[in-house]
Amino acid sequence: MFCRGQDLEKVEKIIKSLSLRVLPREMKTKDERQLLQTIMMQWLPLSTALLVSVVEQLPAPPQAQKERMPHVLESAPGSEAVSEVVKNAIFNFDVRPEAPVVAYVSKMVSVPGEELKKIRRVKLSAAEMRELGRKRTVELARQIAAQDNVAEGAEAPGGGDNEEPGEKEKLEEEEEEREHLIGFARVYSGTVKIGQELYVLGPKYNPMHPNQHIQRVKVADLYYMMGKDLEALDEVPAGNVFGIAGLEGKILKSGTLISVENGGLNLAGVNLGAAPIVRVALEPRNPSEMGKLIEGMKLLEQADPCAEYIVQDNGEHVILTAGELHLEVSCSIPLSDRVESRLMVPAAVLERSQRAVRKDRYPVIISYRPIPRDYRCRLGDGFSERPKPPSRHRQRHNSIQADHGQGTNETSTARCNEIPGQE
Amino acid sequence: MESSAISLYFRILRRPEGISGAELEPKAEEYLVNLIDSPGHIDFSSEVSTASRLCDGAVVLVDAVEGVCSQTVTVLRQAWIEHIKPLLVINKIDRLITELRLSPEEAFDRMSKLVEQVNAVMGSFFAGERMEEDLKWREILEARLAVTKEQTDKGLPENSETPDDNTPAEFEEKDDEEIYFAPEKHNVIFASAIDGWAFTIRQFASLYERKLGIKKAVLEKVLWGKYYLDPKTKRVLKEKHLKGRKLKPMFVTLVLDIIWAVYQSTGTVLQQYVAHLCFLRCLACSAKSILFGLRLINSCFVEVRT
Repeated sequence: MFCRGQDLEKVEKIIKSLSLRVLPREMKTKDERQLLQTIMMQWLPLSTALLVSVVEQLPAPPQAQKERMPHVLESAPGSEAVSEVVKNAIFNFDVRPEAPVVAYVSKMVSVPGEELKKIRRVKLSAAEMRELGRKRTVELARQIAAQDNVAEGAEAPGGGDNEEPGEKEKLEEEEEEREHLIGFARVYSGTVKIGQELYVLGPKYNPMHPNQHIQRVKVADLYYMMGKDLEALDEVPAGNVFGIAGLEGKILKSGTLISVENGGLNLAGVNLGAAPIVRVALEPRNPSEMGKLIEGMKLLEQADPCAEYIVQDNGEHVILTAGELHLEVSCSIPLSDRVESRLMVPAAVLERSQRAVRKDRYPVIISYRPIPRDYRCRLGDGFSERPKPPSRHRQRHNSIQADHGQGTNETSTARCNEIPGQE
Repeated sequence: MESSAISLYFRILRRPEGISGAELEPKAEEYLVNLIDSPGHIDFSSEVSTASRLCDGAVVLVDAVEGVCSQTVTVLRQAWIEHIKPLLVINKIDRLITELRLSPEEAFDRMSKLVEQVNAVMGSFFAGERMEEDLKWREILEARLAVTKEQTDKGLPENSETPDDNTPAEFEEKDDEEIYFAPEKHNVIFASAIDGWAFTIRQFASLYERKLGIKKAVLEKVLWGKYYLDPKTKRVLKEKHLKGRKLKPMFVTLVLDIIWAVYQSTGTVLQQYVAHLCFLRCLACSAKSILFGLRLINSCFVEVRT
């Protein structure tokens, strides 16, 4: 850089007066920002300031639940019928193992099976080691555990001996290829353990009618959420955020977990999310991959709080998203990554009701625009053909302007522009 | 771009407060902080709303340059609805230094305005709730009045009873002091995440406690706001005691000036400013080419017409 506005003497003076320690090597750095960051990070570290404030200012779970949960309970459907035991456990932050478990699952995260396998493997071999250590010497236990790791992988001791090894491997491979859904949850009271039997309450559950929208599940696995990584856990006490396996197919997006059958509290009842408004029909480049695509879309519907998947009367598989960015980031990318089928966006479908908005004064004009280039690359090269935009749009709005018209020869997402004074 | 969670283990050594003078053994306190990071874009607001139900508190980040945006309001409202206590982080303070090239005083001015803006949003939520409660109270009052009227119609007419006597009580005004952000209440953090620093008033108060010989509790109250330090007597002055002297607020002299000095002496200000200028020039270039393109198209049209 041609502008070196460094004043090293002054820097040294500042460092001295702040009583920091900066290595001479760091002082000589060519990058101005680097030096600044070294000084500032040492003097006023971000993590300390933030974490101390969080710890001091924000309420701890016991206190927060006491203040907050009455309000949450009030807004929950059928709150009069919630049993006193559950109420007390939540308000008083009951961590005892015998207290009723209440947990809220906010969304489902899809994780490749391969990754889960790895975590489980580590956990099981550690448990094996402990068990063996009790009986034999530590040295021997280690050897055996190592052997187990190599030969049998995550096989539980004594389990599945009768199966043929080839078949087993095949099963395992399939298992690894599959996507798994992990619930993103928080416990409000009690302690969740692996193997525990819990009831899942759907978003429509109402304690007034305790027999509807209720299912039994067994907690398959518990995980720590460490950003993208997961770490296996045996139990989770109240107040924590965790990942839970074994809810696949039982929970769509969100739900409540509870250990008592009657008088449960439905925490997922109030739908707070914005409704998805962008609808895009998807089809695979290769028709034989339709199954994979549908599977992916179903997973996506479960994983994303604001994505919906529907099959329309005309056979189009439509995905509903909150906006274009949402479509691109959380729908198209995971789909094209995981399902590995090329996607086409034949034409965006807009709901009739949307077109009717303020028709009297501002008719809604639909124009087609080419998708940004990088987006197209990601979706594959299925864009050279020109699928027709739905004809009804054209007939109704033949006033699509010339400069918009250039986009029609390429497939595109639809944009909804309001142009006053047309029609 | 999804909301993701991380569990942070945090250990802090703290000196028990209370007995002054006596140096007590620092005690280690351990915490587990479950943090959920949720995206800010409007398309992902559903992620924010579902995540907010899981949480006990919130950390709301506001850009020091952009100020309060529509999504800031949405997030604050979500916290309000879910009864979550928010912390405010004024982030990207480095942009005030390098991009806008503000002086510490101007930056202080801007930051206090920003805190005001956020508080105005919080105040609007409070006012909305107050109006709702007021309506409920009035309805109850009217219902009661109707009942008493029925009774008086049937029984003996009591002239002495005026409606005011019948009111259940005066409308209970709630205190809204708690909901606002104020650096002296330690719920505002000043930060520049890109450069890895952040601070609260409390940190600086303990830093200057010994240097200035002013008690920490006092310093915490006067470090933010229009308080001035007399350089000779080392006493804190209010605005009216200045008597025409030109002094800078304590937050500027004791906090911002030093940060500004670090940025200036390391040369970061100049470096970033030049980088910013280059970026602007690139923008200007592309704008020019678009203009040129438009002119070209226009001229083509003219040719076709003639």
